[in-house]
Amino acid sequence: MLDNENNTIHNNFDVPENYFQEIKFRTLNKITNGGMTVPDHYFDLQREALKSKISPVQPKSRRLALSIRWVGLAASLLFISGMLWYMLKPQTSATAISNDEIVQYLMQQELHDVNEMQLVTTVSLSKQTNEEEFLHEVDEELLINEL
Amino acid sequence: MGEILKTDEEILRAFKQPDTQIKAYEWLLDGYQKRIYWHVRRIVISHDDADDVSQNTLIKIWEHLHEFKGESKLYTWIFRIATNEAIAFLNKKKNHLSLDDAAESLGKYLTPEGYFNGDEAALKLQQAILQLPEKQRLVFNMKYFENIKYEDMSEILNTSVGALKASYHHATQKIEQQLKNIKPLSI
Repeated sequence: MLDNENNTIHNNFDVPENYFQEIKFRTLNKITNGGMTVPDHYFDLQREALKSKISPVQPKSRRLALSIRWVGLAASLLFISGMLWYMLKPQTSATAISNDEIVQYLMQQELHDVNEMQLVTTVSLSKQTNEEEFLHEVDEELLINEL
Repeated sequence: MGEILKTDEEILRAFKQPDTQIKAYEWLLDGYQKRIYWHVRRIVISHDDADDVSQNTLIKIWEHLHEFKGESKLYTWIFRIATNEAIAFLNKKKNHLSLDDAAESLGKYLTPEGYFNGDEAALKLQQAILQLPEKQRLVFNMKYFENIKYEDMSEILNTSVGALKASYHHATQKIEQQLKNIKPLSI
């Protein structure tokens, strides 16, 4: 293939400077980008802009993932400690019952036992009445005998 | 740059190590920065919008790369983010105007001031592409300009290979028809 210089010598035709590089660029551009172009050094500038945006910090999502992991770990520890405390806590003994609990229990018992108490009182009263009547009869008998 | 591009595996392996994370991201930029930009640019047309969207995409990739599980190819994962970002941006910018209605508003960027230096044929092609429905425009760009395999496109757009092939077929037919109808415009 003839280069530009040889072509000029042999055919007396000339082409603009860098013509073949330009036509190669234009052809490639047409094939790959459909005629669209970018400003000079655009990709280098975009690259620098991107690097300045991403280099100083860790990705936000990664930090979020790390935070979620720590929160999850803390929650798991709390849950495990809670379970252990529940399983290993000392059983409540009789002596550990507070006065308030006793009073509460008694009050409840009292309410349930109202009918029973009334029954006991009635039985006692009738028994007492019978005894008084008996004593009264005895007294009367004694009086009659004395008379 | 002149550096040998790193493989996706090398990028991902390095990204997992805190001390090589930034380096891994630079490798990712080496391999994907331009491809992401051009993919987005074909959707949003304007260079300034493509700049915003591709930067957002690349930052999103940085923020979520540690969540990438390797269930798909890295580049289909990246292109899915870029596609979603571009469509969301376009819908938001055009006040919920879909790509279907965007032909006129986007066509105004096809000028030298809008960083478009294509000749008349390139301009006519871009105008014809802008007339396509949303899905067909995406599929046509990805196949015609980016030469993405249908299988990979299926992962990116979450559409079956059969449907993609049909979309591309319809798109080419419509573009042929459009090219016959569009009047020549001087740039």
